[in-house]
Amino acid sequence: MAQYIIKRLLYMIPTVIGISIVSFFVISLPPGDFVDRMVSERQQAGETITAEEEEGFRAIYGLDQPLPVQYFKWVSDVVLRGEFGYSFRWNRPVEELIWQRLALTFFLSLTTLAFIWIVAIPIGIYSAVRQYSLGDYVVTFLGFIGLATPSFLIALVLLYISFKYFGQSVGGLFSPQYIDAPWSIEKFLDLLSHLWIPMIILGTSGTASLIRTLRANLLDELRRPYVTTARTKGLPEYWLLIKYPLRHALNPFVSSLNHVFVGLVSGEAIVAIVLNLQTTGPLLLDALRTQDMYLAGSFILLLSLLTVIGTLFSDLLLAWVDPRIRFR
Amino acid sequence: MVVRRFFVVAVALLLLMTLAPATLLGQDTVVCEAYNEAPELAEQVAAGTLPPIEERLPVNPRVVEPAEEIGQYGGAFYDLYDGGRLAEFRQFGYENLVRWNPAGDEVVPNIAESWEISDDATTYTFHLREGLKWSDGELFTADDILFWWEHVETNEEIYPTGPYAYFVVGGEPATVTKIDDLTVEFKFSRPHGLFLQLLSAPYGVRVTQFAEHYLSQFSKKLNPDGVAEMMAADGATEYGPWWIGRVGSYGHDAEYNDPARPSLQPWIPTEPFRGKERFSFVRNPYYFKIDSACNQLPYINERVFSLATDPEVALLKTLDGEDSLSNDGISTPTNRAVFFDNLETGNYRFVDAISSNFQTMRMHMKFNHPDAVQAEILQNKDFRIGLSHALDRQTIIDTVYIGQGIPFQDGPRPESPLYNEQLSTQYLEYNVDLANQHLDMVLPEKDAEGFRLRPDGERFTFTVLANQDFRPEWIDILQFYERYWEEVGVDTTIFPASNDIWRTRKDEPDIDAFVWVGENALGYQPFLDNNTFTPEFGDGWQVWANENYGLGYGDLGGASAVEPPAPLKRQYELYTLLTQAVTLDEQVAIFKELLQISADEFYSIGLSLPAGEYFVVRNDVRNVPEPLIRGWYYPGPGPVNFETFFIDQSAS
Amino acid sequence: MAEAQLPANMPATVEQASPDRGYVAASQWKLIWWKFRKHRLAMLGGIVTVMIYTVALFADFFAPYMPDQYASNFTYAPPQTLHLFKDGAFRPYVNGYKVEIDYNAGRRNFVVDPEVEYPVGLFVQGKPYKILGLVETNIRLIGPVNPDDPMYLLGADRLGQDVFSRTIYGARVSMTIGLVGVGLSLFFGILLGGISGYFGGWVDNVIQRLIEFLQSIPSIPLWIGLAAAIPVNIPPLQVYFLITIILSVLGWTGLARVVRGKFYALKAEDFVKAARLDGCSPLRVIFRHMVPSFLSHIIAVVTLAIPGMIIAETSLSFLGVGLRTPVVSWGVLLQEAQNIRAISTAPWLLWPGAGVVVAVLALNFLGDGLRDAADPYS
Repeated sequence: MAQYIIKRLLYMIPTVIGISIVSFFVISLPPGDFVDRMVSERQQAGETITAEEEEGFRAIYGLDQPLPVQYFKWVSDVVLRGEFGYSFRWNRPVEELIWQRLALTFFLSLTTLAFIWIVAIPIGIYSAVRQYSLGDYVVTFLGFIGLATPSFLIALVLLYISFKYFGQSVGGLFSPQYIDAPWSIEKFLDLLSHLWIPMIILGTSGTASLIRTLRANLLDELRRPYVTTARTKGLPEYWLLIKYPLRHALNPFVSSLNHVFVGLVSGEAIVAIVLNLQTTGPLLLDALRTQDMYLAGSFILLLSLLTVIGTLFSDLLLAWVDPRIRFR
Repeated sequence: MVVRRFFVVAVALLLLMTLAPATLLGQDTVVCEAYNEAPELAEQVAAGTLPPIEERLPVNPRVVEPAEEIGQYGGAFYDLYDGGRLAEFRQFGYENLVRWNPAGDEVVPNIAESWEISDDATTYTFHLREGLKWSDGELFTADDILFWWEHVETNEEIYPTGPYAYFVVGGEPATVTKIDDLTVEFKFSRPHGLFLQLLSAPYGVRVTQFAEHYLSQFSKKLNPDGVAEMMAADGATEYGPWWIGRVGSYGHDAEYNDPARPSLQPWIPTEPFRGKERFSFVRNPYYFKIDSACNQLPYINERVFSLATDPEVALLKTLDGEDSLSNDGISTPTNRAVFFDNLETGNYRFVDAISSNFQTMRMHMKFNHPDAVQAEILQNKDFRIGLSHALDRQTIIDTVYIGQGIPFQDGPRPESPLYNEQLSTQYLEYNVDLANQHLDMVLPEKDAEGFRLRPDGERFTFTVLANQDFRPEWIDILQFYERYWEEVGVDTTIFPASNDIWRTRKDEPDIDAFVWVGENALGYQPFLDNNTFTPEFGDGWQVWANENYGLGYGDLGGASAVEPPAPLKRQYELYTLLTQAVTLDEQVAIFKELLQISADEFYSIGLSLPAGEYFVVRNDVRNVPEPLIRGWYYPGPGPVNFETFFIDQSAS
Repeated sequence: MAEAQLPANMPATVEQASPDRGYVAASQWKLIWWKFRKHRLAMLGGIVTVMIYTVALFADFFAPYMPDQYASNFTYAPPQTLHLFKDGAFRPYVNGYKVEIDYNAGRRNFVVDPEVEYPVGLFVQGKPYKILGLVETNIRLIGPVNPDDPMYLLGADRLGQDVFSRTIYGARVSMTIGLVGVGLSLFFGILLGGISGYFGGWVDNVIQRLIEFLQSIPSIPLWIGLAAAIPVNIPPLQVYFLITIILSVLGWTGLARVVRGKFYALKAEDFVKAARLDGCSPLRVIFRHMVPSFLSHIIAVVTLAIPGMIIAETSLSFLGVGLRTPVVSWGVLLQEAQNIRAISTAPWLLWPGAGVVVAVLALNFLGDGLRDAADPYS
């Protein structure tokens, strides 16, 4: 076991290095660079930027260097000094930018995950136990609606509805008067009144796959001989359900935990953009579009590191939970 | 008899003498026995935490006449901020050395009380206001301007390519000298007739943004150890990016992020705002302006900013009344219907606006196309005339712009004294026969499908690039253009490009033309940009102009110089003469000659004059003049004196 | 000896099973069909999917207008009610509008004009088109009798183009864009997953690490980077194919892992050993013997991947790196509706969203049913 862990850890290193190189390359793939974006933005505001000034900007950000030089400068900063560089767009250290948004991102991801599990598990169980019934069809339909609707559209529609018909202040998680106020019941209620939109949108799109997996696995388990045995022994139906099949059916949840890690940090970028949520997703998207090299590169490095760690972690967890794997 | 006449004359003279100072010297000399201030400030004075008003205002405060009436103190002004540059919306505050008047036809004193210009326009001497103080109570003196010049503008680590173009003439930067504490001289090696107007543009604010007594600690030259320590604490390795992120000049979001940094603006920060979703700027107790009734400005207590990164969210917030004066990209003609439906709930009103833009969609040909055959066709005036006559502009205006705006070719707006009728109204007629006639002169041969052929026998293709994020309706409009032009045998292709890539696409050899808006054409703004009415997409010619006349351009895509035809050469020459002209009349005469050449040469094909523009203003905000002007060189609506706005508490 | 235990749902005698062939003797595909039939929702999904693809294939026939047929005077016109009967007879028609530009409200105001009637018919003549690019005709299923009359069943957009027609044309692009991408994913997934599972050892290791590597690269930067690298003068249709290729670049990894898992399980089966002993090349063993045994499973997975592609196309359009105007796809139509102006004053522009929802749900239920039915021996 220890050998297995060490081997996987060693594999991680070249993987992460490889990802950092590929990401840096991919970020710079679109034609032009950050200064082009910046100048374009200013031109839209009405400014005229001369060619000399553009060169000046490039010099300041080190963008007049060839790409490998830029990469090595960044990587050596990361590895030797643990610093991820400055963002061109925000002119601040990358860590500061990401750190500022992590709290909200974690909060949203965790509440969304809780919502998904709370909704998906009962529906999955019901669907497996009452297969092909009308109830099965109805709850499956509901569970899948979220998957089918484009999230950005629903987000904007819900935002508009909450503005027009509930008279709510839109954007972000709090109304203006509660943003800086200390915690209270009203502030909590205000939070809920804003939280329902992202939770429903992000939650419903995630429920479908979980329902499907849970149902399939549960169906498999329910046909096994031990269930029939238990039933003939006279165990009540629900006890029979929870004691063994459900636990086995939850195995895949464990293996999907690695996605949870990534989701925790990157959040759902598209929905966050529409809803004006200051999470890490929009920051990453923006960094990618403007080719903010260090911010985007560091972000992707962080994400891929988390993915790789997450995969390792969930594999280990799976091995621990399911002895059959350990003995392979 | 004689005695009586003498008496009358004497009285008249006496009256004249008493009235003269007020009338001859203008606004700045309203005589105040005592000043009034906001109640909150008066409390602080009474508590001893703030010096009395007479000590806070300069000896001659700037007197500003409100648009409607003398205002009341109090209230809050709400703003939306998109997470980027706080001072980008040119409605934040406008405290340059000099500024435009609200009508945009005259440069008036601001931080500078008065100035002299040498006869040859090489030397500008500015007199600062005695007793004018920064927001922390320290005096604003010539030292602050010198600090800016020596440690910021000419600092190569911050500006690697040297000072901003406004301060450079004939390739040489200005010489800035302190004459005394209240007098600064800018001396140029050649006449710089447009300097005052340029100083009134947004970048001109740099001059008065740097308080030496506070910012010298961030100068590497003056405080090397301190700076090294601060940089290490922030994890920065390069001075330039760190300074931009920590101190910042105009255009950087750091410029108002430090509450300890002294400012001259009417409202000042109380905390670092970066990363916050909501924050306030409060009244600057040392603000140097008063209204004509001796009240210290501003009337409004605070400006509250909310973060709205997405334009649709910003729109919803504006509909909700969370924005006292709408932002530029939000109150667009497209959104007017939404604003109209929510007038009651939002408690706001429409205020008409005039744009400084003269063209909704202006097509520029790639005159120096690398393919010589293509370049010759594009440079042929009959080709452009033919294309222009083939367009049914009115249908496009009716469909895309809901009937707003008239067909308009090119040139300064009709409201501008520089308006040229020929340039603006030529070739606008929708006449397919006329179009074919002109096109037959250039591309007479057609292939089996009716498309015109180039002189070398290949089918002529015309590819137009458009930035579809900037103005999505351009793609719709270009589809109309495509239909109209295909009817006269021109095989047209539209290439919509996203914001991220359109600039680099321009230089691809397949692109023959691109579209943009036409800007800076109200009042005398056309003087200030060397390229509004000369070919925008003639990269080779622009490089030539840069090499021979020192004229600066953006986006040259690595082209090499191509000698321009004689009329264009004359235009480059004229523009250089313009920058050296001293009086307004001279400038106008030169520019009119330049514009007439543009009319004769017909460089760009236009569509329509922008119309139907508006702002949305909350009903409790008063002293907002109508119409408001939008623009860049006239940083609209900044010049309308935000410090005189006030909140009518009863209408909130 | 104890009697063999029969599965609970197996009929006791052959006669009690299906009358024609008998349950025990039925082929694998027959069994799959019978099991699938039980899942009502999946059947419904299947029917709807077939309907949508028919419409997509013959979009010109079903749509009253060409997608770019503009009408200057009817920008943002609301949907017209289709009246079916006039004076007791079946004579469908729609009413016209009195149109006025309201400059203060920044829009055109539409008032139904009961005196103006535009007759509507079935199999009317419209603008000409080619069926499947081959046969030229101009018959359309439903439309105004006079092709220049306005008939906005679902309203008009900002240029006076018919939303109903554009939604139908949009289906053509959105429903097929998934197929090419999924096809590519399928090919690479089976090929690499199969090789990985079949050979095991270091080949498996390398491919697994590659998969892990690719899955760790966040998809959005890759999409943005690749989409922006598409050259300038490529016509929109080719751009669309390139986009699907881009989408499939990362899509094959999931399928590969599933295939690999299946292969590990199947490798030990007797029929595979027999094929190898028989001298079949590895590729032949993979594609001729192993794949068919879990083909049904693959079909299910593929069916479930298509809606993912459809949604991904809409997301890419939203981000601005997918299809954009003037191409007509559901993603583009939704992106055009993605603003408050549309939602609050012209909500009919959201109808393509309904198309997306219906298509994705139908495909999902169909896929679920297929997967449930895929392993009939369980």
